[in-house]
Amino acid sequence: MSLVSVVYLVFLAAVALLNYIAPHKWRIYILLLACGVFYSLNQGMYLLILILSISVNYGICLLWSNRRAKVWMYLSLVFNISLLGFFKYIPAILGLGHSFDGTLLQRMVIPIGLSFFSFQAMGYMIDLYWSNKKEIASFPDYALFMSFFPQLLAGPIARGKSFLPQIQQVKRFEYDNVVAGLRRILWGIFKKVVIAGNLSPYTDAVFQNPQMHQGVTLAIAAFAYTIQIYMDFSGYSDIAIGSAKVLGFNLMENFRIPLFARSVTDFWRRWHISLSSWVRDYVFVPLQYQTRRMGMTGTILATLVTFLIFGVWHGANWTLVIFGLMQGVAISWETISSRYRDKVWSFLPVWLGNAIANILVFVFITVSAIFLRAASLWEAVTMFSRFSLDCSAIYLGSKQLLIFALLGMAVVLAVDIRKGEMLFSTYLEMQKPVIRWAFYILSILSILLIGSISSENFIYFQF
Amino acid sequence: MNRAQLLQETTQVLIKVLKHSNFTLTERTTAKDVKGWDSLSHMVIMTAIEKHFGITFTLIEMVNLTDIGSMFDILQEKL
Repeated sequence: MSLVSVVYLVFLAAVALLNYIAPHKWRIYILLLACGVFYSLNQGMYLLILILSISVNYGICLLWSNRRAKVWMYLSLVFNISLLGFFKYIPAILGLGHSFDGTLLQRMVIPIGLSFFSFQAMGYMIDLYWSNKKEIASFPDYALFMSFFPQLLAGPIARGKSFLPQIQQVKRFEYDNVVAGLRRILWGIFKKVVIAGNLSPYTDAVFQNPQMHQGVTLAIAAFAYTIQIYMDFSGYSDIAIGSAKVLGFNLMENFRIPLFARSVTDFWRRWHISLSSWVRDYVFVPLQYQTRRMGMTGTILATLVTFLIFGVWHGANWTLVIFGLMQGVAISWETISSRYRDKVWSFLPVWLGNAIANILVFVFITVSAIFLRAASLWEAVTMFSRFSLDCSAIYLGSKQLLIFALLGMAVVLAVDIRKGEMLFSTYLEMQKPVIRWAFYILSILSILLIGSISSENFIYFQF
Repeated sequence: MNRAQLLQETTQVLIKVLKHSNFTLTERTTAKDVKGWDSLSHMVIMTAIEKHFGITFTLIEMVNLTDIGSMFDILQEKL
């Protein structure tokens, strides 16, 4: 079931209706049933993998005791990493396809959302181990935490301590909440179909045949891909967060205007926040603790290992290893040079410094995203080797689609500049009714008239 | 060591590590309130505090710190 479909909206409306009219004690079972139906409609028998993961992880929670807490925590980590390894990494490493390059066919047999719900399970167990209170959630609560359908396919990766208490809150229908959720969904669909959808045919055409293109075309395609993946994933996150809001749940924000990042470090505090904060808390902090006596060297080592894991989280491909390491090296450099860089920036007016920093970060992310997009190292190397300033044969594909995407991006940028750090729903709520209604009508018209669902799935579903 | 002394000495450690004194430390201060105290510098600061007071924090103690006051609770137990 595509999240960008009438079927999904009807499904969400039906679940919301049942959720609000049913007695409180039945609501969790209605939501669990909805999650099961949703996952089955997406990937049929792989629902069993989700049930297996929930059952085994909860079983480990039940065996939990303070005396052997560490053993159970490690057992949970081993189970979840094994599950990830079995479906995501071993087929690629064993060469069932293009050796370590992970073909599309292999990626398709990975249970959707595995990387996300496995990380939720590990986060829950580590929190339990670290926390002073060893309170374990009830099975239905835990099952809903692991399978909540708005976030099941690609996050945001939830934390038990923020999600679980929301389950037991008695939720009454609140008009403002539901409207805020629907606005967010509309904004997400706009980003997905008007911008990402219209850019997709162009980036696919260039990235799938880099040897056919050269010069400026490859650079344009690389920048277009950065915009595409941003709009695709932040659009998905808007739909997920908005759907949860309609059901009375608050999920973690996943993006905070990343194009305005002043450094790569800052970028990763604004992009895919639920994953970057997960690796910070559960990978980087323990590693940095172990290496803390080494001073700055320890911090750099912890940063590099963390981003190596971060890259590999995206899949079993050397391109993703390089993607992760590039982020780690950039952040390490920023950590070492922070004092000197601050001095350099202080010579420039703030607005100019910000603009230059934003552009530099965008260019770095675009270059590294080539490794995220390329199907193999060969493809990435081909892209780089053919970069030049040759403007003689620029390929733009359908100019009409690119113009639609650019117009959509201009709207998103204008909104991002105006709202700043504010949430989109809050920003829209503050506008006059005429502006809000203009937004609703223009968004719906844009989606229907110039939107393109070239790929129903979202890019991050493959991870 | 009383909490006023802990506050004074911790302030000195922070000034030394962060190389600025543009903050006022109280028991309710969190890392977010101090410029330069982020996830990358956190462990460097905590290690400097460990060295200064001659104690060792466990990882669990570190991840459960909520503010300067909660750190003083642990320091008073260990000193």
